[in-house]
Amino acid sequence: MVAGVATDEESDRALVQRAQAGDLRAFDLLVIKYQHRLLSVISKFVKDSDEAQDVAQEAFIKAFKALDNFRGESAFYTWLYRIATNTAKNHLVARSRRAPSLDWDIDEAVLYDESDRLHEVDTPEANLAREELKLAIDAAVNDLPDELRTAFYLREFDGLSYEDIAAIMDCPIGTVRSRIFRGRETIDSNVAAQLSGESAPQRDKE
Amino acid sequence: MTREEAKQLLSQLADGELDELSTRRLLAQIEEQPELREVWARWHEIRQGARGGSPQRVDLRIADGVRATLEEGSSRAPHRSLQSTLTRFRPFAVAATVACLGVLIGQQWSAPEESVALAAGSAVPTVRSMPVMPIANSNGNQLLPASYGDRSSVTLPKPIAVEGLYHELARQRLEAYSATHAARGALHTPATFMTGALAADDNRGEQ
Repeated sequence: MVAGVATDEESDRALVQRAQAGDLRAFDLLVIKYQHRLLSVISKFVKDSDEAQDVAQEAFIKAFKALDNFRGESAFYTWLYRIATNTAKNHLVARSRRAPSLDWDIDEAVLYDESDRLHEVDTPEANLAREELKLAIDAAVNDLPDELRTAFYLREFDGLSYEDIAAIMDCPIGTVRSRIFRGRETIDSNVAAQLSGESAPQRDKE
Repeated sequence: MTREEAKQLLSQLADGELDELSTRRLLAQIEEQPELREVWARWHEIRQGARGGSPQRVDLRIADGVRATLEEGSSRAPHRSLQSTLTRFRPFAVAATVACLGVLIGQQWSAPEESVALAAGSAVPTVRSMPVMPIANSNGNQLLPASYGDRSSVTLPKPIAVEGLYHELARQRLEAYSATHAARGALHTPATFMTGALAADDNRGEQ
């Protein structure tokens, strides 16, 4: 299992249930969470950037309308992935273009996406920007105080529950909750400007 | 709820550790503090980067577009739900219509029987919606409708008036039916065809 996937599924399940009850705000959070990953999948079929965004939007709308059919038998993203690839293929057919043969196994494709290989067609500039972001995030995580970093890692990499992390770190669950939150906040404050597309802040050289 | 409290709940939601009630409270709060959407987006990019993936700059255009489309759709939803409600009640409406037709037909069916009974000089109380079944009287071999009550003490002016209405209604329907079919029949008779053809010839002759 990919680290952190269990965490995602728990989070997704809560939001999907709310969205199935008709809560658009819950679905909005799912869209925000997966929009970039889905866009990179669709970009494999639809090369034009604006067109790919339209197809991604259409895929999410189709997913919302079909949400009652989602029974939770697979991960939400796997289900979403199928809708996205079908939407992209239909888009190409409607435009009388031939869809590329990307009919690989769905689970394999999701893992392939997780490992980031789907970005390989992006421009060198985009790849560079992503690489800079990744370095900035790595640096921000490493700069965390030990307690925050440990809690953050146990959560994000090992996918452990708050209860398990509390047992490992020998502290109350409330403390774990607080440490993970403060860890996120600290990292975010260091990389928010870059993630928002502003220029990277100069890091102090020690 | 302060922004800090909302972000703490958001962090728990990202970890799948938030209960349903708190999830609802948080979602309501996001409506009031839309900047929480960006925080949510950044945290997931951070997660992506920390897990060895490649994070991207936050861009909510797709999410905004999806949201706007779905909100527009949900604002039209009351019309759709009214339509679906009407659709749901359609079988009952059909059943009610069939029942009404049944009652009307039953009433019209009973009318001639009543007229027979009344014409025989018996002002007998009868059930108006049911056909009256005549039975033989063993004493005088006279046919009488089956009934309850004292026939001598009851007079029925109203049923006669209603009966008259039925007759009138039936007569009007028959006339309308006859008139319609007579008109249609006239269109297809050879005489009409010939009359039309002769009229056309007359017109040509005049020209």
